[in-house]
Amino acid sequence: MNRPAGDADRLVALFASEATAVDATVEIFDDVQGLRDGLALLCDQAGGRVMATAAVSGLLPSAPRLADSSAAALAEVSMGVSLAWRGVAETGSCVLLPASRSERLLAVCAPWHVVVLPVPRIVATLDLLMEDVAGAVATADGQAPYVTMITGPSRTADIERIITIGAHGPRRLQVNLVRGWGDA
Amino acid sequence: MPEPFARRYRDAVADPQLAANLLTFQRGWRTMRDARFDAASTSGAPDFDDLRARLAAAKDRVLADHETYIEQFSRMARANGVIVHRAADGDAAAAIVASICRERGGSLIKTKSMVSEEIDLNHRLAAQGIAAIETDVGEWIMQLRGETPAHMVMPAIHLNRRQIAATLRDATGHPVSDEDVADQVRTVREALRPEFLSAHVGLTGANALIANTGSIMLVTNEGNEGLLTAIVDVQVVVAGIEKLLPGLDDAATQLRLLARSATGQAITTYTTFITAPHDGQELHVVLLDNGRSAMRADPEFSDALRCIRCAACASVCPPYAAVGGQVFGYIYSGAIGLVNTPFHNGLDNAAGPQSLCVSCNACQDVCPVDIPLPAQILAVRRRVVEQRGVGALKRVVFAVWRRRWLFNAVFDVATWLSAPLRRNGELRLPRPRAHRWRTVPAPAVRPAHRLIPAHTPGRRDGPLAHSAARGQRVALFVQCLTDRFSPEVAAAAVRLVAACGADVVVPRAQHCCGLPMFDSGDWPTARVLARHTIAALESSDADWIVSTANSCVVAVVHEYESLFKEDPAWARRARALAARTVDLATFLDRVAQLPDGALADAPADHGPYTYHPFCQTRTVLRADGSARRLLQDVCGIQLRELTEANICCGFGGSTSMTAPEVGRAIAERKLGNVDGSGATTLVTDNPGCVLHLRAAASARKGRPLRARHLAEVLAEQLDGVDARERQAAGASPGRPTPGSAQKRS
Repeated sequence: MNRPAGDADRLVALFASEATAVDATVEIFDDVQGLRDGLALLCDQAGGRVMATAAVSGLLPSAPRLADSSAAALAEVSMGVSLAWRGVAETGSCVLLPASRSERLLAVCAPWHVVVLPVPRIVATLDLLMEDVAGAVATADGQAPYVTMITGPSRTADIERIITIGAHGPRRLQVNLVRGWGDA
Repeated sequence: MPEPFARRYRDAVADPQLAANLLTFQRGWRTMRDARFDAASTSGAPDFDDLRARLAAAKDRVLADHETYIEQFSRMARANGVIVHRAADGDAAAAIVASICRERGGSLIKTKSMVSEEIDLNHRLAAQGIAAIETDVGEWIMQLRGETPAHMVMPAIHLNRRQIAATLRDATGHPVSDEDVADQVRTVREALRPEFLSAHVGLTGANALIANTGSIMLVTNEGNEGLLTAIVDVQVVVAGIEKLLPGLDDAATQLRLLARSATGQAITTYTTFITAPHDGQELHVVLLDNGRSAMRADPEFSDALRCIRCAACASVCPPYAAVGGQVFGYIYSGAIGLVNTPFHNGLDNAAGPQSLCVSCNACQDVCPVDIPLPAQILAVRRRVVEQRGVGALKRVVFAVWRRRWLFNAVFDVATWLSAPLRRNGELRLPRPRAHRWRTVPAPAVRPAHRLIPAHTPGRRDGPLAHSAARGQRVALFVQCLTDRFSPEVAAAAVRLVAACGADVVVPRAQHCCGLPMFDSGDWPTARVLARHTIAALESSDADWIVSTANSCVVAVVHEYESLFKEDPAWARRARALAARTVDLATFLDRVAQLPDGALADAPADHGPYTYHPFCQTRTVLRADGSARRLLQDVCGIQLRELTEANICCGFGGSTSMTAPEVGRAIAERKLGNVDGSGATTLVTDNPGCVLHLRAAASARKGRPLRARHLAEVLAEQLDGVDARERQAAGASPGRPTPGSAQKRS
């Protein structure tokens, strides 16, 4: 997924404006240390219990292990932190490829959801994303049983078509974009 | 299951809140939806037409080879560890779900699924002691109220926040704000969270089933899908077999169309692809037929299986806004509900709702898979009539109407008898309460066929004499309604066409084109009149058939094709006639090619003008641009912008007679928009619309509005220019006429 730097900047700008338009908050970090500091600040703000998926728990000051947490235990979490598998610039979406049911739950049960999105993982369009999804779900060992594309915090317009942020899922979605993440 | 149709209709029109809520909803929806598609096309992304052609083609590929795609999906899903079931009908599907629930403790938690509504799953399970709990905010509210969804995407959109607050207070026993929607949503979240946490079996629908990966695509906003599918040990997906798509690239096309069409979002908050069970979960997919195979085998209806349940056809539909989805539909609502109900829930349950369609074609205009919904609704209507007859009143009316001599005799007598009641072109008649919102137009003392000569030679002088139509032979198709109620419109058309230098003939044998019978589902009678019309107009030996009745032009150029589908000889004659049949605006703009300013004149001051295109002028004839050009550029009339110009006036043939409350609601919406434009003259281009709007405007006291046919306005301009030229020729040349240089606003 190597591409010229100017292209990446354009995708970051488009991603940020689309995600913001659907009520996500977006922060951009130039390196992993900056991201750590940003997450530490969020943990302070969140208070209560913070939980992170295995891929990002190392970035947090202290977060209990997510593995084996029951649904009831997860329901007490005030902020969940996940790592995005892809981002989509066209729609400002984060795509998760959770490794377990607990990771799936973490993305929807807490009032706050923070997604770490490495900049090299942003694709330009929905069509490009679908090519990647097709590759991920086609593997015989069921590598991607569940792929979810999240575009803003949960919402409903079921009452008078008035958009209300925070339905059954998070009321706040924070996307932390990070450059210089090692896996590009 | 819903109450009988007549009862649902009565309840809906008796509830003034309902139409108010829905009107607000429709206006907000349309603005958002249009803005989304406009934004996409201006940014260089694929536009609506492009996307819908692509998705329709993908759906058609599946439908052409349905069983192969079902097999492919099933094979892939099974390889992924999914348990795939096939259910022929609601009984079979409910039995599968019930047996899964019984194994796992006996209750069920759900996300919104229209298929489960279609088969009345909750009640079927309840009868077996299995409780099913809805979690979608709107759907839960409907479950609490014991109602079926009023809209496929926003089930409770017919209610306002105060009605919803009352429902939530009753259900939870907690105080709930009447005004604060966020508080109401929080109440739902808190009430349902424990239900999620204790659930074992969960049911979802599917927005698409991806054949080449075996994936289930789910599109949601609220986060209930994510909670439910992660928590439950057993997930059951119930999906109609029309939900198949070949691959994930097609899913991207569907996503782009679905959210914009459904809610006006660029994309929904959560889009999920479930391909395999996770961590020891059990995942079932129940593929439901329930009439879909019969639909696919039916050439008139198979296209309707493209539907992606976006509900745009409801969100755009004027009669839907008047009565809501529980009346305009059965379980499925909006235009698609009128079309698929016969297959999923029986023709009897479609019989009432289909009568409310006004054939404005707005639904097909916004349908993201281009389903020919208006034609399909008429086909449902035809089948209802074939089974139950057209009804006693229409049988008598049509028996008179189909015979020209009898029709004329009845009108002559009625005109004579009603003469004492005539005042200013209206009849002072007592009317039932439901009809008091409009006056009754009086039939003309002299019908057009006794007013207009059979032959009017083309003029060799005057402002339009050198038009491109000079020397052509034009037959005027008058229309039966115009003949009896608006002969001045036909006379105006003759003056205009003759002024273009064309010879005008008015074939005396002409009568009704058959549209009222066609629209009412009585196709045998419609065919009698269509054959008569074709023969009468053919005999004129004209280069062009021109009419001021755009609905009847649509009948000739569009509907005759369906009428004579199985009669090749008449189909050929109909096609030949259709090729030279045009509405007046198209004739003057495209055939005669009147130049800008040719009719610029400023006669009597009638105040500001606005133009409402007859629905099918816009959606079928695509002639609204010609009408606007004639008014603005040829006549120099500055038109006031009309909000919701693309919404029907509510005439809808016999609908405004049989469902007067629907006709009234739509007419008031139109007149409100006309008032908002500041216009005092409303120009439109179909006699039915003119009469309907004139009658509705006349009944409201104190707000005078001139409703005029386009032909009358253009002829007024012509008379003004003629008078000016005569004056100029007679009096001192070069002297400007008062007002001739300035444009009216």
